[in-house]
Amino acid sequence: MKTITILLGIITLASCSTVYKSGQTPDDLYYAKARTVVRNNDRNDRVDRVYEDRQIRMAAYDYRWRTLDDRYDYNYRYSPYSYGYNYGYYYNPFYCTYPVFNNNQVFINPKNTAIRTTNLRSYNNNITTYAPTKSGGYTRTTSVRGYNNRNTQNSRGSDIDYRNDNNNNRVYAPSSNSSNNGSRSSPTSSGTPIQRPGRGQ
Amino acid sequence: MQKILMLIMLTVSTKMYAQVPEDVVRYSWFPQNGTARSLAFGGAVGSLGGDITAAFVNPAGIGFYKTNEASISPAFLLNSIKTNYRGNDYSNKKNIFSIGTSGVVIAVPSQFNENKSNAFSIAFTQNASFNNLTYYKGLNNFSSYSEKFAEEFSGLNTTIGNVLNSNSIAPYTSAVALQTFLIDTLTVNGVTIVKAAPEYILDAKQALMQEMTKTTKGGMYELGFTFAGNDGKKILWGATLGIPIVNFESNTLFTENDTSSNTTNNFKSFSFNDNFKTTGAGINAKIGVIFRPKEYIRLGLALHTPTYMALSDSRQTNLKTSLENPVDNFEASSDLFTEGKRGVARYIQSTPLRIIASGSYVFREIEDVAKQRGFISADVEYVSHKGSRFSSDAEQPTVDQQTYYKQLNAVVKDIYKGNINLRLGGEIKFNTIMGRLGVGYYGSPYKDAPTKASKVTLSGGLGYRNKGFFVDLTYIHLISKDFDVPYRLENAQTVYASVNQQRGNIAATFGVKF
Repeated sequence: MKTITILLGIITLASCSTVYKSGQTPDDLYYAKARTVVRNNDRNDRVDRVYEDRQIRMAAYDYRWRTLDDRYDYNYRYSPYSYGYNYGYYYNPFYCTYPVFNNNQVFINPKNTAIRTTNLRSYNNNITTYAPTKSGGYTRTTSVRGYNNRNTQNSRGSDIDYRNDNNNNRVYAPSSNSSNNGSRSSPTSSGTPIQRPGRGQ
Repeated sequence: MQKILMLIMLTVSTKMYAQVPEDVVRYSWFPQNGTARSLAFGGAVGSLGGDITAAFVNPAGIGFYKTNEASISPAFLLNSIKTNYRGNDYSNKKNIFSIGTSGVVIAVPSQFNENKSNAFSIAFTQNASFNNLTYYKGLNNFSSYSEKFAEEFSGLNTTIGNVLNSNSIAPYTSAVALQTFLIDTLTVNGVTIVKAAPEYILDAKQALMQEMTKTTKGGMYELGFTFAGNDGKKILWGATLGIPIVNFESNTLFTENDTSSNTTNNFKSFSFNDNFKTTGAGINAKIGVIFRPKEYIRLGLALHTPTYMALSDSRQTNLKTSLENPVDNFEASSDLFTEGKRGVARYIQSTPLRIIASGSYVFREIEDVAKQRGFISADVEYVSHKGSRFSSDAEQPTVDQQTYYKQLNAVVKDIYKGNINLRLGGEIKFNTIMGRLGVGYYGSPYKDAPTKASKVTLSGGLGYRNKGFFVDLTYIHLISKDFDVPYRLENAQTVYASVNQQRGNIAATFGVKF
C-alpha cells in the first residue's frame, strides 16, 4: 500500500509539470514522435573554463597545488585510502577484506532443516496392493492409480483390501544401519530423546 | 549461478531437504498480469508494445516508446471459490488488493533519425496472487489423512526413538503423529506394522468426517529492468532482467472425526494444523524481437528463460488427537522436535521456459491521436511446466539429498506437461476515449488430472487520454477449474476435491507523459 501511495505521489508531482498539459496525450502503442530538445553546448564549455581558471589561480597562490593533476593520473598521495606499503595495511579495507580480529570463531545456531518432504512413490501412476486370500495368504495386485472423490458401499473392503492388518504394506522394521532401499536412509539421532507420554493412564 | 542467488538472498545457508511437486504450478500457472489497458484486451501485448506490460511479455515492445511515461496500476480482486468434496458443495469468498504492472519508461530518441530510438524502463508487477481460502468437508470411508503419516514412518525404516527426538528427521508429520498416538506400532500374527488410529473406523466399514480449511497469502512479484531499441524501420528488439520476489504463506487445518456412536472403537478425532512460509528471490531474462513487415502489421517473438529462485521455507505443525479405549487426549507441536523453533530449509527452484509468438494489426499508425482507430492482437504462449526443477543449495549435497531431488524432478517431469496459453483482444479508439475487449485461455499443466483444468479470462474496459494524462479502467473475470489433493497415499487412489474459482478483478491504471 505504501508503494502505491509513493508511486501515486510521484505521478501527481510529474503531472504538474507534464509537457503535454495543453494538448493530446501521445500514444506510443500506435505511434508517437519524440519531443524536440534544443541542446545548449555553450553551457558545458563555460563550466570547463571556470574550473580551469580556478586551478590556475590556486596554483599561483600556493605551490602545492601545482602538482595536482587530476586529468591524466590518479595521484595516490592524495588518496584517503592510501595506507602505505609497509604498515597499516591491516586497517586498509581495500587491501584486507577480512575482519582484523578473526579468531576463527564458529557461531552455532542449531536449526532443524528437515522440512516438507513427501512420499514421492505416492505420485507413481501404478499402485501395488495386497489382498487377502481364502487360504490365508496374500495376492499382490498392481493397477493404475485413479482418483477417488465418492464414497461407495464397502469401498475399503472391496476387491482390494490393502489395509488388512496381516498385510506387509506398512511393516515396522527399523534397520540397524544406514541403508537406503528407495526411501531415506535410517537416521541417526543428533538431538536429545523426547519422552512419549503414557497411554491409558 | 547458485552462489549468485545466495548472495541475492543475503543469507547464510546450512543444508536443505525439501519441496513437493505441487510447488511447481504455484509459480508457473497463472493468468498474465499487466496494466488495466493490456488486461482489457486479454493481455495480448506480445507484438503491440507501447505499454509497460511489454517489459514482462516481449521487451521489444518497450522500443515503441518515444516519449517518457510513468504509471501505476492498483487492482482489487474479488475471489469466490466453490469446492466439491465427496458429493458436498461449499463456497467461500475472499477479497484482496493487488497491483498490476507499474513503473517508468524513459525514451532516448536518436539525434540523427527521428524514427530511430532507444528506451529503458523500470517496472514492477505482481505475477501471481496467492490470497485464497479453500474449504471442503465430507464423509470418507475410503482412506484417512493419518495414513500418510503411517506410510511415511514405515518408509523411514527407523525406530520410534529416532523420530521422537529434539532434532527429528520427520518433525512435522511422523513425530507429532507418534507423540500423540495418532499412529503406533501393532503386532499381528508376529508381524509388527504401523497403523493409524482412524483406520480402525475404516476397517469397521464406517466413514470418517473430514474437513479441510486452507488459507493462503502472499504473491509472486517481479521487478524488471528493460532496455529496448527501435531501428526506425522494421525491427525492434529488447531485453529485460527480471528479479522475481516470492512471499507465500499457507495455513492448513485438517480434521477427522469418528461419526459413529461407538465409544470403544479406538479413535475419536484429530486436528492437524500445518503452517509454512516460503520467501525468496530469483533472477531471469526475457528477450524479444518485433518485426514490422508492412505498415500496420506487427509480428513478435519472445523467450523467457527459466527463473532461478533461491527460496527459504519455514514450517510448524500442531496435532491434537483424541482416542478411545482407553479415552485419552494428546497434543504436540513440531517445535518439540525442531530444537524449540520453526525449522528452516533452503533450496533452489527453477520455473519453466516460456516462448511467446504474437501478431497484431494496428489501424492507423499515425501521430495524430484523433486519427488513431484501434487494433486487434493475439499471443500464443508455450510454457514447459514439466521443465521446473528443484535442487539443493548446499555446496556438497548429501547422497540422500541428491536422491530425493533426482526423484522429485522425475516426478515433476512425469506429472506435468507443457501447455498452450492464448490471449486475444482489441481496442477501438475515438479520439480521447477508448473501448477494449479481450479473452485469455490458459491450458492444463497436468498430464493426468481428475478434472479438466483450465483458466479463462474475459475482460473489458475503457480508457481516457488527454492533456498528458491517461486513465484506464478494466474488469477481468477469471474462471478457473482445478483440483486440490489433501493427501496422497502410496497404495491407494488419490482423493481430491474439485475447485472452481471465479475471480473478479477491478483494475485501474493512472499515468502521465513527461
